[in-house]
Amino acid sequence: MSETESIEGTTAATDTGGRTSLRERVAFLKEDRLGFAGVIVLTFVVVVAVFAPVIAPYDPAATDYYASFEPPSAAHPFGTDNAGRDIFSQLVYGARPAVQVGLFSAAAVALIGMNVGLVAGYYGGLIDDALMRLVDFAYGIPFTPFVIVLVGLWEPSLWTIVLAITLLLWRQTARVVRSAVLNLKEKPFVKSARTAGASDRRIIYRHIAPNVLPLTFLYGSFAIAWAILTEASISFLGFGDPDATTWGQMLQAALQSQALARDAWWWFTMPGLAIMATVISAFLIGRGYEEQLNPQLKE
Amino acid sequence: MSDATALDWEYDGPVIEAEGLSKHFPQESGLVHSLLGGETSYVKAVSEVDVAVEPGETVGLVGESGCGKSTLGEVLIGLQEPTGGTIRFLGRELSAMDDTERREFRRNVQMIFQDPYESLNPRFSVREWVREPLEIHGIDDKQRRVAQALRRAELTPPEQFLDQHPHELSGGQRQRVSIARALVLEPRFVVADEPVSMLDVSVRASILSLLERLVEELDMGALYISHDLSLIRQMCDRTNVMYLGEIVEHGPTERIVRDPQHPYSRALLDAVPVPNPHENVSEPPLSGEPPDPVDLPEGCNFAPRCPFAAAECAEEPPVDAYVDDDGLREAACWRIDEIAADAVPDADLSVASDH
Repeated sequence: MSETESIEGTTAATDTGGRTSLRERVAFLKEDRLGFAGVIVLTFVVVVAVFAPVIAPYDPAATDYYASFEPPSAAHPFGTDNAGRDIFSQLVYGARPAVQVGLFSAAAVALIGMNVGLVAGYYGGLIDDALMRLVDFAYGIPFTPFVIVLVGLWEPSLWTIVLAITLLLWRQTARVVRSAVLNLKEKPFVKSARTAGASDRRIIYRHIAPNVLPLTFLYGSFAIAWAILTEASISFLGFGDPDATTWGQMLQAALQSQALARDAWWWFTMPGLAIMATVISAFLIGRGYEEQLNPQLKE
Repeated sequence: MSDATALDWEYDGPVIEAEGLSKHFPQESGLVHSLLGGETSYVKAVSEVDVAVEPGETVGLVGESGCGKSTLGEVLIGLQEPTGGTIRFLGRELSAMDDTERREFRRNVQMIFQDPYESLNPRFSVREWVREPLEIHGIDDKQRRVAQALRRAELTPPEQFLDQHPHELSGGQRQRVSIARALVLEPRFVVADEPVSMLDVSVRASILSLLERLVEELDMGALYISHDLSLIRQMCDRTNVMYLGEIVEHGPTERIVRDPQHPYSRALLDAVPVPNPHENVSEPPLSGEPPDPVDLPEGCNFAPRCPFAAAECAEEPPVDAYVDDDGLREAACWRIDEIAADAVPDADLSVASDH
């Protein structure tokens, strides 16, 4: 195993078509410190989300009007809001919807985008035309207004937001995967599969799909960042799930209670920083991974 | 393979036989052009070709790149549909086959590809790659068959290669994996499309002798495609010389190599480099590119580049315009007797080059 590793390690950077194990797929982190930092932060957020009930000292929704607008203290490390709710606990619980929206949207975007790209690229012709016009159509939709309308039509819940984000973000993955498939389907190994008698389905999913998987991962990781950002904006604008404790929701509450005018900086700074750190780390991972797939970007 | 019943496995004629085979690709002409009533033009990749391959025989197909050799190979194994002519596999016409027969045909014709670096899927291990045809055709006893195919391709011991991926293999080993994959189904007919052109000269010989031995051992028919007559000479009993989609000369390989008749075959042979420093390097016998296969010249396709072209070449010669006394060799040229009478001066050849 150690011998194959060293061989693969040298080829992984240049030979994107080569098979790479999970271990090499994350090997770029050794060189890319920003990407590594991104992984650390994102892992931290996921751990916080999973263990939120253990970590949070208070119920994030528990009000305590005697302790409203308290600045950070030993009892409330990040202070309290207008109803005396603990900001730190809200922040910890807010990691849950962020992770949920981020991961589910990314998974759905990857799944839909990849399949549309595979089918359009492989079959070409009318199917390709139809699917790509659909992509063009999706590109024409203004992002935030569309999400707001969709959330307004249905009940405001996290799942509606996931759905809305998915409906908008699959377009880019589909386009990129399609162009990769156009190239891959002309490779002799596809011809070899056809000679062996493989069906279209087999060729698409066994022969072509594994070769576009890295691209799908890449756009999936960007989708995580976009999804978290979008969820925060929607909640901030007041279209979020009113029952959920999310970072965007916290910002919205802070705005409505005029936290800035009351010098309660801790109320909006903390969720703002949390959103920023999470989104940036997802982007950094995507960026580092993209450089690995496409070494020219390093220059 | 004994469960196969639909086709006539005892057929004792050629394993594959094509008559008047054509493959013309329509040119994309654009909407405006076709609205204005413009005619669709065709790229004539393969025109009116006759080939037959007997079991246990390797037939050569030689010509410069872009002449339609690979297209012919792909049409013969059913990767592309012909636009004209017929193909018979074990005497059964391809276009008349039902689904069962078509599946059996699919299983019994295979291809070995040119580029060992692109023809293996980088994400498959050797085991998965060689095993896949068996999975597709639902053939049992996979493990044994895979090991046997690898041993036949001289990847021994098979266990050493089963879990390797293409990037861990050398070019020659990759080509052996391709061969194992093609042979694991024990096909009756194999097209080898320049199987060694991308390999080091040092491994070519071993791959070629491997192919030669396997054709004999498995009693397959093989079509060996190459642009290199010296390799064809080593491999093939009979050879077809192809120029712009047409067979211009065919017959026993030795006869074509020693005494080519068609001017194009002569030029092709003159182009084979001689590994002898004392040999004078003559002018390249053929200059210019083959004409665009979209609008081919009237008459003989080769006439524009032919040093011997004359008035009669305005009419297209059939492949049997010239036939050897014993009927074994034919060439598509009107002027072979006149050309043979002249002593083929080299100067003539260089004059023919158009600038």
